Amino acid sequence: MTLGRSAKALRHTMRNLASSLIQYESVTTTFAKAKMVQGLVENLITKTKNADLKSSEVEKLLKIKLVGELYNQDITVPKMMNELRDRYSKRQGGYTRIIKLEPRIGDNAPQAIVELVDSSSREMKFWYIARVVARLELQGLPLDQLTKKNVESLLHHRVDGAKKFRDAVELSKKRWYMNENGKVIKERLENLPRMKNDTTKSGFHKEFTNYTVVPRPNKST
Amino acid sequence: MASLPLKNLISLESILPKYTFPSLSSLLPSILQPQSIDQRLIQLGDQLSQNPSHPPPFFHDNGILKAAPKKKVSHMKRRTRLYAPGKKQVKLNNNLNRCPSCGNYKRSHFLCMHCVSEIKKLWKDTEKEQLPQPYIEEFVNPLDEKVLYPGKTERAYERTLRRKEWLVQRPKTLPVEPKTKK
Repeated sequence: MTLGRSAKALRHTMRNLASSLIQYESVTTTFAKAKMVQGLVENLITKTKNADLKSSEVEKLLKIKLVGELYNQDITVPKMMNELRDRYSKRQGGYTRIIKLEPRIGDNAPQAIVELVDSSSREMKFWYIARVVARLELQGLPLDQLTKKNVESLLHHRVDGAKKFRDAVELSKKRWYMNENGKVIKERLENLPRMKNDTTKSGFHKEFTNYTVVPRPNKST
Repeated sequence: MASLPLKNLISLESILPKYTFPSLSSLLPSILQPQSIDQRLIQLGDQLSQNPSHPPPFFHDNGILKAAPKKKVSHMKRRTRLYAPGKKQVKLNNNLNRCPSCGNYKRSHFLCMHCVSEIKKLWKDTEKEQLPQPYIEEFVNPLDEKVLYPGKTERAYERTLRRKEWLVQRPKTLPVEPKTKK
């Protein structure tokens, strides 16, 4: 749990990582560090959320806490107090997301992306799904179940989410699947999905339509 | 030592192992002490005394014996040790999926690294656009610019350096082939 360093050095690495995560919205590190920093950042966000900023004394105490926990305070602390507090007002935890990546070239260390949820400027999952949707739309195919679910969960708490996602999809269409003249590059769209996951008969993400869900009867009646 | 019939004692002492011959012999009881000496050693001593230009032969590790394998490891034993254990062998990747955004293979529950790098490039470009434009000096006469800032000619080796061919690049995975009906 100490990542092979002393307690002092560990605290500094975590502080560094947490502050750069808050500043840049997404950070690529090793999986172990990602796991550690996740708890720290989530804890800080809940504390800023729970603090009653109407009273100046509480605000002062919170500021002292954040300045002690983070680096680059002139950027990170106001961002925590204003932007992130507003963004996560509807959420009950789960402000960060970890996505696994391939191991690093050189030392083969398992890598991961840690990102703040609902950021849209630098959110890997948001852009990845936008890229997938753009590809499927250009191929003239409907969205499969998993992508639909992903889009839904991405836009659930996002402010002005549908418009942002639409913009991202259009941008990714232009950037990756279109020519400079606006023509579709057919070579990049040749590989069609098997849609195995979408069928009801086989596949992992199948729709269970064989039975109907009956609510549990009330005990008192 | 005094009983040795040698012409040049000093040179022989430098040849022989330091503590095996002279020091041990003094410790041993008189019965066990070597009575006669090998003829070849005497010949060697003679040779050394005759041509002093040749230095005495260099003894490895000053005659101190060190641990060494007694026998050569056989072909079978070496190969069973190095290549038989299962954890040293290359494993099959069975957890493979199709990346929905490029159609190539990717590990399940992991992101496709090609698509991740593409998205990161996009972020970098958009952030570059948002930055304030750097100040660029404008010249009425293009000759002035040439005089003030003579262009640097790029050498061939500099061009090769810029390509960064020594960096290990992650190869792109193979595309998922459509299933053929049997």
